[in-house]
Amino acid sequence: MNSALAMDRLQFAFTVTFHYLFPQLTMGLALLIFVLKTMSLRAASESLREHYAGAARFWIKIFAVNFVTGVVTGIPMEFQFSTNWAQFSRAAGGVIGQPLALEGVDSFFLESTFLGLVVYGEKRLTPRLHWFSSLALFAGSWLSGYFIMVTDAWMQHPVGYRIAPNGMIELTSIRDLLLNSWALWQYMHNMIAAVVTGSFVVAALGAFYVLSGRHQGYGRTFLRLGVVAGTIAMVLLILPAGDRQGRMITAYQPATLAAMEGLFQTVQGAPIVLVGQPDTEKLPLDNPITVPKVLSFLTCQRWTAEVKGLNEFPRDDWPDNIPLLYFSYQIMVGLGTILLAVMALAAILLARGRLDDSRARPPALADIRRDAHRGRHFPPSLIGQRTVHTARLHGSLHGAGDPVFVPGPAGD
Amino acid sequence: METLWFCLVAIMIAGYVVLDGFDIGRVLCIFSSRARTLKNVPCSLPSDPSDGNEVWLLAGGGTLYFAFPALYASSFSGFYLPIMIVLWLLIVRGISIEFRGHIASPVWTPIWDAGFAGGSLLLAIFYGAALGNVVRGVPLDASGYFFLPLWTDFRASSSAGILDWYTILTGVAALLALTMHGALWIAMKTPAPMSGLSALLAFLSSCAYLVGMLTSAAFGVYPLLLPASTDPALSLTVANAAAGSYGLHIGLAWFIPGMLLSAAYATFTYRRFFAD
Repeated sequence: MNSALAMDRLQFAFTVTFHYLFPQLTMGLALLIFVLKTMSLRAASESLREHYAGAARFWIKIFAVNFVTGVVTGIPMEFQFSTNWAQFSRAAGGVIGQPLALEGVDSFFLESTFLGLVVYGEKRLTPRLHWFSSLALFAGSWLSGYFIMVTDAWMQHPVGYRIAPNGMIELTSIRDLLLNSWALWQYMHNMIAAVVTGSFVVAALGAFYVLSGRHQGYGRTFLRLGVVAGTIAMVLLILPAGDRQGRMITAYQPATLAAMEGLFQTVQGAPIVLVGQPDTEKLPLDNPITVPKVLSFLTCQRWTAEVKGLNEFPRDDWPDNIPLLYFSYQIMVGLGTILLAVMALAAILLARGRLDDSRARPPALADIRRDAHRGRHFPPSLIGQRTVHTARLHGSLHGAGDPVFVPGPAGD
Repeated sequence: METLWFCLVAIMIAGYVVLDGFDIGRVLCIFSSRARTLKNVPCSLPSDPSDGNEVWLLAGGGTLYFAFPALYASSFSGFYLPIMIVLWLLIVRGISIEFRGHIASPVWTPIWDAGFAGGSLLLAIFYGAALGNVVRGVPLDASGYFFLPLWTDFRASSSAGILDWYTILTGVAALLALTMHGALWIAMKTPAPMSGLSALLAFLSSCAYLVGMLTSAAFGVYPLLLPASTDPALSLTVANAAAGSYGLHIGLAWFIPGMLLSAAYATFTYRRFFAD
């Protein structure tokens, strides 16, 4: 990998990773704020109404700062598509420019307008209108998420396009683009993950307040909201969302699946790896601890199914950096398991009415908040994949040796 | 169809300049001590939707991306360093507004005010310099890309960089126009001494001025998008940089309703917040 490519990737990866921390929380909080506003609107007593409204007000302040930071880090994202990946933008801009522009024109305007109303408008709007504004904010932010997912989904699984005579990629069907099957499951996985992040943050702060003895009333509300939302979200995140995404990767990107699971050789009844270090020189995993047959079941729903290993694919089609992909994926899965366990435990304690008293759970929730964010580092390794996969798309259409993807500032 | 999108993109960029322009401009008035006594000058008014203006930048950039991908790719990769500088200035401005109000301290607030003011000043100059470069043309090669150093010796010769005395001058012109625009916005918002109607007319004239200057610059280069200083045949034009015909047609299906809706809720918000 020449150094210009490495620099481009590093910069883009940094921008994505840093930017994405903020919308992740924004989208999760948008839902939770809407829930709090709904509870306020429907509260039976005046004091309860004010309690939930106060809770919403608190999180709205945090939401506003988070949103702004997301915006200022998101503008570089949009421009770095063409500063860093100029050849790709020139070729594919006619397609992926559409969802990106759609996001800007149709959903970003919506969410930023209603953000103003939600943050500053409580006194000037009726409770019902303020509640509606929080609904519009939630809808706008989740719609934004959809268009961004559509963009990435097209890069993972291109649909609805053709190659024009001048080499540029042209859109042929916006319906196919927007209803890309990859996009639907990726969106579901992504948004539920945002709810997980939001829930953990809310629960952690609630735990902090309960433990420190300040704002205990609000602390208990945050804790309950966070744990209930977080448990439901964690379960849905894995089943069906994560499972379906895994199956799509199996169907459309088998080389990626093999790399991320550390499967170097095709095997029937493939095991799932719990621990292991991939060694791309000598090939087998070092120090593996595996559970037999589970990978076959997860990907093909049969214990004895054959799962393709990396040996089935030409070396050129292998992901560029297998250890990075493998470790990102395994860490994500590991963190997901931990997060699920913590939430499940908290939910059980909550159901038994003992959550507030337990001193062990709340600190764990606070630490876990950091890790929930780290679980999101999976996507950046896919960015390394994009060049491979879209290059493969071009390679298969143009023939090997086509120097399409040599990105650099001046298209060197 | 390409011409239609050219007009739409030009309007979005002009819209962004008019809206963010008064935001950039009014803060420069912070340097005047009399202006500082006016309540509209401090950076972050509680009822100030300045983030809403950046939406136009994002939407305009996205629209440019899908309608003229070759232009987007060539110009942004060629202007890499100025783009990075502009992005940093936008970031500094954005966070300055947001963070400014969070701690009440005589050290905290002025730092963010300075960040906002300095960022706005440089941003105005860079925007103007960008326009100067686009109008003058850049050394596009046969593959449609170009490279220019950020500056060479500041002389407007054939080996000029992106910044030379000419483009800096266009930058200063932009700075002056936006400062005037910002000052007129403050005058419009302040009850005294200008009467309401004349202040409003002055501000609207400034809007018209900015829109007029920008659109005439755009139509001055039309049908070229990015003239080539090397060989005119290598210029990026409305025809050779546009996306496919299906894409441009279907774009109208979401662009027009989207913009109408955005105008609708922007008006609704404005009425609710600024009617007083």
